Amino acid sequence: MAVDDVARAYIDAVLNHPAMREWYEAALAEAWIVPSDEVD
Amino acid sequence: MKIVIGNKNYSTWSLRGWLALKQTGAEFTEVMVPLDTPNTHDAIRDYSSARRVPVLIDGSLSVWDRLAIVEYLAERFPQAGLWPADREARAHARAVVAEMHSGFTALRGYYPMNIRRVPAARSRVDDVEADVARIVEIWREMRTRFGAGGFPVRIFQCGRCVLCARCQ
Repeated sequence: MAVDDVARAYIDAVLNHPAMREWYEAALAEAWIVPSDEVD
Repeated sequence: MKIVIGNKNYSTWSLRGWLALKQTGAEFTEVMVPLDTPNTHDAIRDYSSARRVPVLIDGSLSVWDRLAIVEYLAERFPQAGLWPADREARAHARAVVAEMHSGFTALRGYYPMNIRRVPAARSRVDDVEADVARIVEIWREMRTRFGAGGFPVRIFQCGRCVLCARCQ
């Protein structure tokens, strides 16, 4: 979904926040699967 | 201090409480309860009768609900500045957070968080588009009122930001 520059800047700022990066890295390392959340 | 959370890959509710706690700079431990198992609710009930994550444990106190956690942390750690010092900015921030806390059900349902993978493209849905447009409008209003670097709500919007980011 396309977003404008303001929204893009805000999304990038949040996703690059150190705490968010820490959460993301931990999430990527998780092995647990919830099947209902893996359906497209 | 301790926070009980669900899987970091899926749980945006947990993310919001965790981020607010992280933002205080306080030391804390995490207890992760895997979601969607036969034992999930019982495991959470050890910490909260609401049986939902996140749950913040501070001594004998148990605070459930992500927004209640944020409010408690703001009182407990005033030096962290979780809410803006300016009264108008604080009121605006609280209104935004309340809207996010109770709304955007179409977006949440259509784009659940899954950090590990990029979902397949989905067809456009009016209610979801409207939710995304409203989030962008909120950001634009804050930028206009409080400046490009002055998003007053700080970390609290992250859960919704993640959802929006998944919509790219």
